[in-house]
Amino acid sequence: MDSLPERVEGRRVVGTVVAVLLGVAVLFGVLVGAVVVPIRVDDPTPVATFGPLSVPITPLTMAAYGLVSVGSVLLVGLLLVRYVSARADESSA
Amino acid sequence: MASELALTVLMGVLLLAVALWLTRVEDWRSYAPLGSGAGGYGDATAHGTEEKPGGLTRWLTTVDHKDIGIMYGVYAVVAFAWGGLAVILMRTELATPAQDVVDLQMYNALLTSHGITMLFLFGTPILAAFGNYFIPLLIGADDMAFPRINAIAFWLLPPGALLIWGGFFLEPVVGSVGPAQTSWTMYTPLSIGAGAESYGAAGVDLMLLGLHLTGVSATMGAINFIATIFTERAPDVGWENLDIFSWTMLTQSGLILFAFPLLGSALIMLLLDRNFATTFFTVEGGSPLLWQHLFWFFGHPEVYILVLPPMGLVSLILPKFAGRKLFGFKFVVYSTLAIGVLSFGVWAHHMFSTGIDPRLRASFMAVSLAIAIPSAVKTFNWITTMWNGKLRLTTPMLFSIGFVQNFIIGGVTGVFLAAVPVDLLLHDTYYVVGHFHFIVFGAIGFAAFAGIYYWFPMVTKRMYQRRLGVWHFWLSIIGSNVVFLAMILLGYLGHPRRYATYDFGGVAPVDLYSSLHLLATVGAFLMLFGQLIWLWNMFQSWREGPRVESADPWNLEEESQFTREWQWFRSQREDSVAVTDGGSGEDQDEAGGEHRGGDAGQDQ
Repeated sequence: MDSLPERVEGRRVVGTVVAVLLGVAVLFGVLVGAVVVPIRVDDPTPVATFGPLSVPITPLTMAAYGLVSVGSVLLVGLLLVRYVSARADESSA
Repeated sequence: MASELALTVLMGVLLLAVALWLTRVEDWRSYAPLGSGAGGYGDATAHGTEEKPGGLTRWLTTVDHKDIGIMYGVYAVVAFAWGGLAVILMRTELATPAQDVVDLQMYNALLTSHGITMLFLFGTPILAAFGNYFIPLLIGADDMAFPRINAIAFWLLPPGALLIWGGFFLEPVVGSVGPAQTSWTMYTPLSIGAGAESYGAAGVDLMLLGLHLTGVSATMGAINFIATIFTERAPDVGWENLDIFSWTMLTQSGLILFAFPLLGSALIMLLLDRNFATTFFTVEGGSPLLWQHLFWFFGHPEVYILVLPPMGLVSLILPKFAGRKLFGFKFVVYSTLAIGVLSFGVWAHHMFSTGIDPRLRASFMAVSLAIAIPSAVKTFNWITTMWNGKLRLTTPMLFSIGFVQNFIIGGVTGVFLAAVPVDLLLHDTYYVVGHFHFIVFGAIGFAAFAGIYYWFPMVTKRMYQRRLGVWHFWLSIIGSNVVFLAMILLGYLGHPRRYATYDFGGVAPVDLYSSLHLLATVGAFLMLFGQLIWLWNMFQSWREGPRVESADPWNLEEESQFTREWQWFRSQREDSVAVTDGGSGEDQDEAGGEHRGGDAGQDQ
């Protein structure tokens, strides 16, 4: 029989999912920086520009880009989830 | 000519004989919901089993929605095995750059069969399995609105599959006929017959006819679901408390009504081009682009036809193990409807690289980006449901969470593809393959597994082995992510899709492609082991698993989420206990068609 497992905090599970997604983003950043860019970009020292900011494209900066871009979207989403969830629980209490 | 005519007449006589035999093999009216002769659909119940014949005749003649649901499920599993084995052969071939396991034409045939099988013979039928079995129970109907049409819709599928796979069987017998090698998109002029001898010849015609049958089947099923949900709901099931799975099946059925007849028409036109020298899709006639427009006008809604009910399944199952109701039920319903409408406005994003008018491209890009919004609304609601919840990580819950994670990755990679400049770079590369597999297996497949595990105790009255279920989950999620992420990376490296070999001068060194392909192949085998474990678990547990001791194996009553289908299950169990305790058949008759405890809330 599938005896029911103990309950775990939803936040912990959501946090794990977010951590995995961030891990995938960082891993991809590293791989794109290390493998894809040297092959697909002709420039031996490629640079990305974000407005006034110029950043060399390396595995590290691509990993940081993955972390920041995906992380910021997820962070905004999670903050919204937290806010809405708290409000919903208050109103139903 | 005369012999062909004689053969045709003989076949006609044979069909007539079969039809006559079928009318006599059983007294069909005796166990159809119309059996009472009252002319309505609600007077007699199809839930009772006392009127069913036994053995094979039962399965050949049944019009009971639950039996048909099980048959859809078994059919889908057989198709899943076929499609899965096809891709295992393909991935084995791709483990090395050269051609060394299957010949190139067989690879093309496997590629075509894998796509068509998984989408038309596994994806749609497995959802029909859930819909048939559970929608009447969820909405308090005695059966589907048109039980016989329901049976006919199912029985169109096995000949459909035989026709679609027919080329593989005929090749050893009739050398000139082989499996189609057109890919699932059947792009013209290839599918019209350019190089007919080497591309399957009549095998393509068989596949088109088979596809047509499955399309007719899906359309009949959709009409039935719409009629059932509109007209057969119990008096206490209003639109405001219709469960989320029924909402998604209703929307899906609406999409099918608009999409599948169009596919059927296009398939007929293609058959005419192939066999009667019409020029609908020829280069000198209506143009191959016309096929692409017609195909994708069906093809993209097809993605949502496949993904909306799984979203409904996850929306239904997730709250059960989160200990709280689905957050923002109304918004999940509205987003379902929004996706349904928008899904018909995105088809040309598959054609960004065909040279269509840039203004058209821009508008399709806008709608393709916009459809991410209702999808994000759903994801937001699932996460919010879990956020303050206390989760039980049962096997169906694990698969539901896996669905959410894979859906996020598949969705985000899809948003990039919606942008014209990115699409032009990545079109026809493995990136696209990785993206849509995150959705079709990572999301749709995972939701189907969640549904199977969740309702397994109800359908079989036994419990599966949890340990094997957990193994199945981890092998599936690790395997699928390894395969599909490797594919996305291959796409970034400009690796074109659909090739059996890659020992060519690509953008990247062959060794790099080879390493990533090997990684993907390892992932595919992890998935294979996971599915074998699942198959064994289902088979063994159905035969010998421990019997469920209560009608509430998930402790749903504790959470006030003991929904209508489980109430029905309880009534069935009580009835069977009453009979074994000496209850009379009349008792069973009285109780069998009732859905007890209708006061419990619907799933919201």
